[in-house]
Amino acid sequence: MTETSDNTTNRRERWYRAVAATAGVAGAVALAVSALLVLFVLRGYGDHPLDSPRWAALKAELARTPRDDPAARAALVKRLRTLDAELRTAYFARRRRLAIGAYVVCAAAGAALAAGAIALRLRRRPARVAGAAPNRERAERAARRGRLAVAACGVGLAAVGVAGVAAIPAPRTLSPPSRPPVRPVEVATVEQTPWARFRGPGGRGVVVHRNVPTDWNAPAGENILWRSDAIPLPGKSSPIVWAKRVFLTGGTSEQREVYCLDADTGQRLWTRTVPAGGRSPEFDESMGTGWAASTPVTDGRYVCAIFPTGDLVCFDFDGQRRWHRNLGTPDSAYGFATSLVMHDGRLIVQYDQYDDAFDADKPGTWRSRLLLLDPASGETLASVPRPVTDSWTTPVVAELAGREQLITVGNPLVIAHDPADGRILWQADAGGPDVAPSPVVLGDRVIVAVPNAYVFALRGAVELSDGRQRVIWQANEVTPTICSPVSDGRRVFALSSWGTLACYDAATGEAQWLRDFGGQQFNASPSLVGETLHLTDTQGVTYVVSTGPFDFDDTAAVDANDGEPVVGGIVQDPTTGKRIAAPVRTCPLGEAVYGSPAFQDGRIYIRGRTHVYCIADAEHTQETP
Amino acid sequence: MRRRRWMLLVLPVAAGVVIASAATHLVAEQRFSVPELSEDYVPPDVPSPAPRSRTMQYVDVAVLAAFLVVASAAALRFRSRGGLVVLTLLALGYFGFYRRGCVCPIGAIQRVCPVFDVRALVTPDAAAAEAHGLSAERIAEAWRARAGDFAAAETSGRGRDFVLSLWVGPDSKRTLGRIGRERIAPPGDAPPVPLGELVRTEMRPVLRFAHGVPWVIVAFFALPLVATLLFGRTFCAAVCPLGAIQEAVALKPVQLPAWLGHGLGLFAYVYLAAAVLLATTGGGFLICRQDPFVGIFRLSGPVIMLLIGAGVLVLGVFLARPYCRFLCPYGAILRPLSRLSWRHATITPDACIRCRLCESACPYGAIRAPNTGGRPAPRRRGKLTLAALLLVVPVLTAAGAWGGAWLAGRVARMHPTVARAEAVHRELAAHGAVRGDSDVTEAFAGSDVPVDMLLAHGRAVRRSFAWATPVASGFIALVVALKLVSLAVRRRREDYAPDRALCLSCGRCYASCPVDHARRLERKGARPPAELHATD
Repeated sequence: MTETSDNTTNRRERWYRAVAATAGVAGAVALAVSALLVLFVLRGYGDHPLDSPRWAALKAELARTPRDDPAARAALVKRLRTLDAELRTAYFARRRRLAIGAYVVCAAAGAALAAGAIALRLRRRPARVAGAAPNRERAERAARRGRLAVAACGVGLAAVGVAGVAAIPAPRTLSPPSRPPVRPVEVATVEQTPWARFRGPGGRGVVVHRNVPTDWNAPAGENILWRSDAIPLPGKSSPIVWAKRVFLTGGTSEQREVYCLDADTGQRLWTRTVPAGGRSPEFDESMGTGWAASTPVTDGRYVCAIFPTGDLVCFDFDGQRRWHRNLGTPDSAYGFATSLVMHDGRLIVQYDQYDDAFDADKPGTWRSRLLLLDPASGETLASVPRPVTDSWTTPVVAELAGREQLITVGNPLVIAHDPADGRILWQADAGGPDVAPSPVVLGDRVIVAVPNAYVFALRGAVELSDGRQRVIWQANEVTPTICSPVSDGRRVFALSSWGTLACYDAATGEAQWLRDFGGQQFNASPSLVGETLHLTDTQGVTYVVSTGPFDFDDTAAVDANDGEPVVGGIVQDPTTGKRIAAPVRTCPLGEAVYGSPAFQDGRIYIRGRTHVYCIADAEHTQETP
Repeated sequence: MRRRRWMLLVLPVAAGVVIASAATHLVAEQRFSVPELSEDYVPPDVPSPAPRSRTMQYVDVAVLAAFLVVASAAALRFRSRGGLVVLTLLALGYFGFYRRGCVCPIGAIQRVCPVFDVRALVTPDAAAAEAHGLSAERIAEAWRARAGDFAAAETSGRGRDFVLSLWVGPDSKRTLGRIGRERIAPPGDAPPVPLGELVRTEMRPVLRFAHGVPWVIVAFFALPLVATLLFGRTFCAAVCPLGAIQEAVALKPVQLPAWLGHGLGLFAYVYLAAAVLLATTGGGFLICRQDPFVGIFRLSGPVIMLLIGAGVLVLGVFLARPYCRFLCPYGAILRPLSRLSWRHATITPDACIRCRLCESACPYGAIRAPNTGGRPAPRRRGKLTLAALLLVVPVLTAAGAWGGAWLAGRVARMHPTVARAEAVHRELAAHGAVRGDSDVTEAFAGSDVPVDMLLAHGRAVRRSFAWATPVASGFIALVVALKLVSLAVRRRREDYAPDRALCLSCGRCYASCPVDHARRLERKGARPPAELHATD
């Protein structure tokens, strides 16, 4: 019996030693591999591949390489791509090795644990009972100690918690806006009247300056003060000018940007990329207005711009982004192109968009909005649903019939809003599909052009209690499709996209004369400078023509062009059919133009397809340093 | 015999050679340079991990339920320590290494918290849309068009995948409600439908729990609670992967003095309060971020996380289940529920013979000794202590809440949004612009979030902390006070019994119980020693 027991004990002991040694070896391997893994990681084994100094150096080299050296850049990009693939492959190979190491550690640790457990079992001794038997007194003592321990831990926790949290610096107020207020850039004199929005002051397209150039030739360098460097991204929006700054926008489907140019030198002061907040809209690229058709707006403090992605952004004059919002991507057949307006400390967004289910009688289907925002913060002050679908017009704010009104043209309605709170004051069934020309306010009436339909003159009174119709007159000799009409107070000038200019009597709508520009394509809206009109076609040629009146019986005027046929040189009386020749000054820019020009004292700023031009008379050019 | 000896020598050497050869693979690979790449190298597709399929989600929940049933049966019905160990290893394999530690009921605490954030997520309800003959795309567009009504909006996806993330201000509910009442007209003559009926809105301040939490999370959170109410902490015994990995390493556990266990047990409540505080204020998932074992389950993770996990496991060799006993926030919830459980594992299947063997078998200090016999303590003193501690409960709770209110502003700085807002605010105040001097401000400057919105969000989060911090600190103080009270209550105990709150139903005590041993012998047909039936 004793011998058997001894044998059993010896056998257990031998097994114990073997299993314990297994546990030791497995544990040592686990420890060694763990140490190896930690060492690898500390040596940067798990670092991100693109943290590599080689990568950073190559990127820096690329940044230094000038953009006009495409061959060198392409070679660098190729090297970067190769290095990128190399670094990534190496990174994943290292990850794989680390994973193998982790498996080895797990296996070894598992083996060590299992062997350790078996070894302990082989040496298990009978359980012993220690200490005195429990009784009430001992239980009381244990409870007392427990209470003390809990109290001590509670006090300790409170002390550590309070000390730890109190060591955190006192919180900041986070009060808005603690930034220094943006001071407006002063505009002291009439000469410096800014061209702060699409079509200048009031959106009228009327130039207050009388000394703007009337003759230039950019390819020949005549009367060109400066030509900017190429603007990185294209855009059909127009430039705006405030004091010494010119602002414009550009965009592609990938990226949108806002630019600030020095108005005296054309030097690009800053370029800011607009954050992409919404999905890309879908529109017919060939028919569309592009990715930067809306003209920005400024009030001397803030410059705001909007894009067809619904991104609305605001910068100060130093290019510091004040805020950005995405208004939701608007559904617009040709891409959103309505320009922004600022009035009385409010940023106004006519956010019209299409809806399959649109029904003017069902407010639930109205997706279009008039938004009034605080330009300082981007906060929505008012959001008013509009019973219209997509349009491409820009609203105007004007004193009309005794009160300020915001006039918008949409499909199918012309709607007047209160610019203070956005509420609808009146609406008239005088809009239409594909409407792009912006309205013009004339005394107590509104002039609206609906493509392929009519030019309307509407009464602007909020209440028409005497039963009068809203429409005063309508004319259709020429109905603009893109260009906005312009008025000198007595007459309304309307230019069709295919180059026919009409002069309507503002009181009656009667066409006084027509003038044809030989099928030239026009996107820019006409501007009225004194008694002349500036009409810029898409080839970049500006036609400076007189607004008349023309005496169709004055034979002397027929010879004004010395008998040479000039594009747009013939004026016709539509009533009598009489034709006379009238002078036309033709000023080429040398590149395509889609936006309307901006006018300042003695200067015109025109955005070409790739450059911005500042046009100034030679006399003015010499004065300017 | 000689042959066996030879084998005994070979065993450790073979194990060492096999494991070490695998390890040398690591070093061997390290010697090779990175591969040279050809110019036509095509970068590999890097797919993002696909979400768990719906079927597998059902499987996971079914597996959890099955584990709970089997664990409860093994602990209460079959009293099988071996069965529980096998189940523990299976749970470690399935919930730990296969499911990589996620979803787990511990982390699910944070997901089922109502989150008080200032963001609303709007997604089309495809079923409701189809019922009205409208496309999800159309509804998505209708909501996108109204994005301008909010402080900011981020949109992603199209159609059914559309998510409109609206950053809303204090007026958020009203704005959402107003837009929800606006009607959208289906094609044909059907009457217009309110827009709100066609979307699922996750408005965090209000409906997070009802709409934002997948049912799997709710199931993982609730099933162990139900099991605990029925059978005690059998989930901890053999289902929880975090418990399982610690159970596996608890080779040589020592017993802590009971008083120390009571004190250290408070930390779990502090952890629970902190995790819920951060989760409800949208500050992140503390429990998941600080999970010591998830890196081990995934065989990957930050070095510090892996080292902490390894450290806890090494500690766990000598101090059984340190995380479960002193830190686990889910354990903190299970403790009081287990006290109320319908059935609970018992040490002995029959009358206790007071042999005291179970006391030394339990590494968790979860066995309560009888408190009869000996000189009785004065009753009056006990009553006075209890009365005093009962008075302390409201005072301590109020003091804790007051302290939380006092420190709420500072505590809020733990929240990433508040920290970011303060960093941006600091730069704005100093330079008048966000220059991107620090990583945080640089990242913010490159984002499309307006400064004012960030500051408004920061203030809103801080307001959440203003009431949530006193609640959290008051809760901790209440727990301390109740713990003191519970230690002052005298309950008469005649026999050794498990402390239902602390007992993990691991079954170690069964093996040490002579009565249990005798019953097993009886079942096998052997005659147990007669003295085992005697009691002292």
